[in-house]
Amino acid sequence: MKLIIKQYLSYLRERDELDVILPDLLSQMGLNVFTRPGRGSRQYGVDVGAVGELEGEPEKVYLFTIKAGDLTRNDWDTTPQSVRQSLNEIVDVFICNHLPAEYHNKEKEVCICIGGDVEENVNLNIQSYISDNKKHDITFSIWNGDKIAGLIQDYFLKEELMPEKFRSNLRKSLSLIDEPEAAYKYFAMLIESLSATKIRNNKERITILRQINVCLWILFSWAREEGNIEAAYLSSELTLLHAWEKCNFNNIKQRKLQEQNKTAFLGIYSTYLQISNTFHNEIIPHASKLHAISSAVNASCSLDVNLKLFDLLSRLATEGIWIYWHLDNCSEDGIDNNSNLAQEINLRMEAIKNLINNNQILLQPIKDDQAIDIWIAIYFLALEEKNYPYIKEWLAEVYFRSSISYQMHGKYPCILSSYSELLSHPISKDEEYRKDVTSGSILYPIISLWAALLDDKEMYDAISEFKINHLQHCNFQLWYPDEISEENIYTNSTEHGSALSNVCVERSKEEYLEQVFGECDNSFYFNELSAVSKDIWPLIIVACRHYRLPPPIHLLKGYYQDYQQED
Amino acid sequence: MGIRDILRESYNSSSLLKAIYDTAVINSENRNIVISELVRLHNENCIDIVNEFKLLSNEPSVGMDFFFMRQIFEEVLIGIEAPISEVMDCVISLYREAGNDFAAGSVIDAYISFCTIDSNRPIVALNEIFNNPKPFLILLTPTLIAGSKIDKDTYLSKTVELCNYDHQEFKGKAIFAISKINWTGNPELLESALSELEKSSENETEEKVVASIMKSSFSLYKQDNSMEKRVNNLVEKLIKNDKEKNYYAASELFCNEIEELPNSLVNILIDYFAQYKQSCSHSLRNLDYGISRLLKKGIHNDKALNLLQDLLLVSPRETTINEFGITARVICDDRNLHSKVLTRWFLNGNPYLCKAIQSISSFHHGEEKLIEIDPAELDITDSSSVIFIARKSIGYLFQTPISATSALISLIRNSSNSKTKEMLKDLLFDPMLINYPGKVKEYLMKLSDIEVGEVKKVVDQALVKIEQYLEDLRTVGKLNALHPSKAQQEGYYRHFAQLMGKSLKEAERKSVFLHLVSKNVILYGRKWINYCYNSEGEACRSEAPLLEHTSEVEFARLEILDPFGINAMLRQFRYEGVST
Repeated sequence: MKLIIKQYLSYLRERDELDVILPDLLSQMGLNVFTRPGRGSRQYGVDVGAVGELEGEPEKVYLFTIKAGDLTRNDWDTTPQSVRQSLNEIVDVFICNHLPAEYHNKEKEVCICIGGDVEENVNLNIQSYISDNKKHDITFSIWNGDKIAGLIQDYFLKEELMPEKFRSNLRKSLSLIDEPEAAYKYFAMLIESLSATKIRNNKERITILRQINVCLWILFSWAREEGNIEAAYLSSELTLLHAWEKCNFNNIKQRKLQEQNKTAFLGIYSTYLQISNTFHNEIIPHASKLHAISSAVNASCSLDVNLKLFDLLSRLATEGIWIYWHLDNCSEDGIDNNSNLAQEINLRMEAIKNLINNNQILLQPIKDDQAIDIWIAIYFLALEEKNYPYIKEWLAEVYFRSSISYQMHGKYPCILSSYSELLSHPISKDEEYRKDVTSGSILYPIISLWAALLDDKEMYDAISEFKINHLQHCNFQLWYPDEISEENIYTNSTEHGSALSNVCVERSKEEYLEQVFGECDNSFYFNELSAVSKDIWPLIIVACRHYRLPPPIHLLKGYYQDYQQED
Repeated sequence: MGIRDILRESYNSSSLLKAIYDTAVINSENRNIVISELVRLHNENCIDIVNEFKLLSNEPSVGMDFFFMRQIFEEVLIGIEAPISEVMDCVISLYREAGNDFAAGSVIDAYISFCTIDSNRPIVALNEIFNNPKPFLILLTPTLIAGSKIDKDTYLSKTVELCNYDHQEFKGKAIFAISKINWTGNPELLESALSELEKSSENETEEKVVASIMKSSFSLYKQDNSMEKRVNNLVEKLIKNDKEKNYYAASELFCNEIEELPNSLVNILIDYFAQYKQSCSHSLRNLDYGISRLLKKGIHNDKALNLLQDLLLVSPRETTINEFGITARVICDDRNLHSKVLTRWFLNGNPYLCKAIQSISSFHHGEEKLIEIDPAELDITDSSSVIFIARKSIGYLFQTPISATSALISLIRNSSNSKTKEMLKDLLFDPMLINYPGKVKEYLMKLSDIEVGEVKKVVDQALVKIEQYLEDLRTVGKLNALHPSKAQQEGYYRHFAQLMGKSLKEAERKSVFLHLVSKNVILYGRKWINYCYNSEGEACRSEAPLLEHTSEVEFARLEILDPFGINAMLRQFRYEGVST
């Protein structure tokens, strides 16, 4: 296990990676972290600062300067950012002028923290530097990959904290990283086991959350190194949802505990965002190229492209929604940061539109539940009014292709879910088969809903007519959370929620909207979801995306209110 | 024991036919000896070969090759003396036993030869026929032919006389006999024969007799071309008498005599076929052959093509170009004709004609056929027509991309309008190059090396565009996260293998070749060794290397990336300009 962790540490980059893991590790070791990595402001060589007792020694101040990978001669002393310069700054500036006053009298240990090893040819230079600069209250030490790996193992993954069965799932997951579905399966087992671990106090809860985060990081860094982060992406969604459930915000009332849990959760959230960002950074630059992403699927058949592209669509939109949420919630971050976030949102909106324009398979869902992906993408695009015409155009084409395919027994949207069944779909032009595989739908009611909200009467009427003429047998439905949704939506442990059956798309759009949003008032459990009450509602979208549930209609209430006002 | 003794003994033990088969058919070197011994034995009254062969059966269970045996009888017949009625009985029996085989009639030729040997034989045969028409009428025509070879005047007169006979079946056989008899040197009788035919044509309604009249009158024309006008009138009158019933008879004439029909009669027949189109498969088969001959000879091309076009549109769901297989092959093999038909029918836009082009092109095997547009068939300055044909070519020939692309190139070559060329260039890129960046690109690159001027310019521009497109795809690199999972890949291979297995079985079921040969599965090795045994039971070793056959197919990329889009585009290209 230690070798795996060591390997993982060597894969980490300095910024946002090794420096994110270290504070968690120090906290877990019982130190009090007083300086965390920050951007913009000068740190005078210190990336992480902590105080406390370690391994039976007297209380000390630990000041870390972090360098990813191996420490080479170049890293040691050639540029203003080299390790030697950082050490000088720590000794000359930070300790004298920036160390909090209450720590002045304590011993200080300056730690050179590296993900890998110190190269042989620089070892002597470091030793000379240490003996030249050592003082009575200032000592130096090297925390290399081997040492940190040992600490991670001791403080996160040792038998008492993580039984061998759990660690074995982590190892299996890592060994199958190029088979993402299998890797995800083992990682999910690990996360589920960790989440299910009985805890006696909040400290243990925090430990589990940190363990989960470390495991996710290990998976991510290995996956990134292997050039396939699919397993990490899927696992990060699951981890995020399980972590939220584990935080138990609805039941923990003490503010301090809530804060601790929030910090631990935010660590996982930050890992999730980083994975999501890494994933999309490979996609976004190519979205504007004709067929580029479809071709990259390396598919044997159109079904492969179809499944992958719709999935990708909602991933991209979900990330956009998180950024929007961040912008909405972090207005105190400053104008510059807000403007950056707005740009990021815009970048993703354009990427989604480009993705659809250049990969026409996104105009024709083959699975009815791809309505979920469409819903999320529209929800994100609709955050900007300027995208309304585009949404209408896209939905009109989706509806056109779906209805024509249905009438011609082509590859029309169906409720089949197994890959082999979808491969053969439609297996027959028999009317009975067609009725069977279209016996229910969320796709058409969702298109109708957006058509109504965006006041696209033509499209709304077309679907209405299509339902009357061709889909009488099909139960058009929408989903609402119920009283057990809070317990299950983050872990998908059992079926939950209610389906509003036979929604009235045949009636006028006003009546339809009234029915759909009226039901929101009757099914009020949405507001009781902790993610909603704690105002981290994009988590609901992640849950719906990951567990293939239609996002709750309640999220669209704002659009309905706008519609009513305009009316 | 000598052959004669074997035959004699077998006759006594009622196994003569078996003995003939064993001695003459299995050991073919004895054939001539057996035949001459049979003639001798029969003429010496030692055996009755006629009555023996009357019992010859075509049933496979008999264990004898019927046709080989019958050939022996045919040769024996010429040398024997036998009562005419018994010979007639036997000949009719052997004729009927042959069924619908092509060689069924050869025994009739032997009968004619038998009758010709003795001038008395046709007279006796005719008497037998008149006295007992039910079984023997079938031999009236051969008897008249045999008689005419001995005593021309008498039997020609007899034939003409019989054309007037009250008995309908006698009349029909006599009329048919006219076509089989050589009338040269008897202009008066020939004249009277034609007159009889003209007379018969007045009221004749029997389909078979009408067919005989047509055939016989044309036979007379062949012997005296001065009768052209009268024969034309006669045929015209017949087909006007009963347009539907006589269609087949006319089609038979068109099929069998197309090489010698005078132009005037070809025109009459084509006009008639075009006007009273029918979809009877037998008639269509005749017309197919006739049209194919006309096209092959390069005469009446337009008329023949128009006729083909009309026939394809009579009942297009039932009558497709597959019913005109010979014609389709002729069109496919003739580059100019193919261009002409393709241009004309694509410009017409009728989906059935366009589908016919698709089928005609499929007759070509091997490398894809390069297509030229016939500029004489369209107004090349009319941009909309040019684009219309270009889109039809893509719509219908998309599965043979080099053919479709060559059609576009041909249009570019002939077009003078720069805007039209620009539109053609766009089509060259999308859908052709985008879908087939392998073979179409390779074809265009070769073309770029040999072309000059405008075509080269357009081709080069299209190649630059596809190169940019492909470069864009390359810049994406390998995105492993987007790849289908292993389970999905295996699921697809299983699905694909099942589909392939199913279609292979279907193809094997239809394969003529596999019905002719037996199939052996070799599990190991690169050669096969086999031992054959000859009639003496000696083993003969043979060894042959196993050959590998591979074929490569480039699928349209958009079938995977945007199946709905590409199919909608092709559908639009196929059906645009078609009134519902």
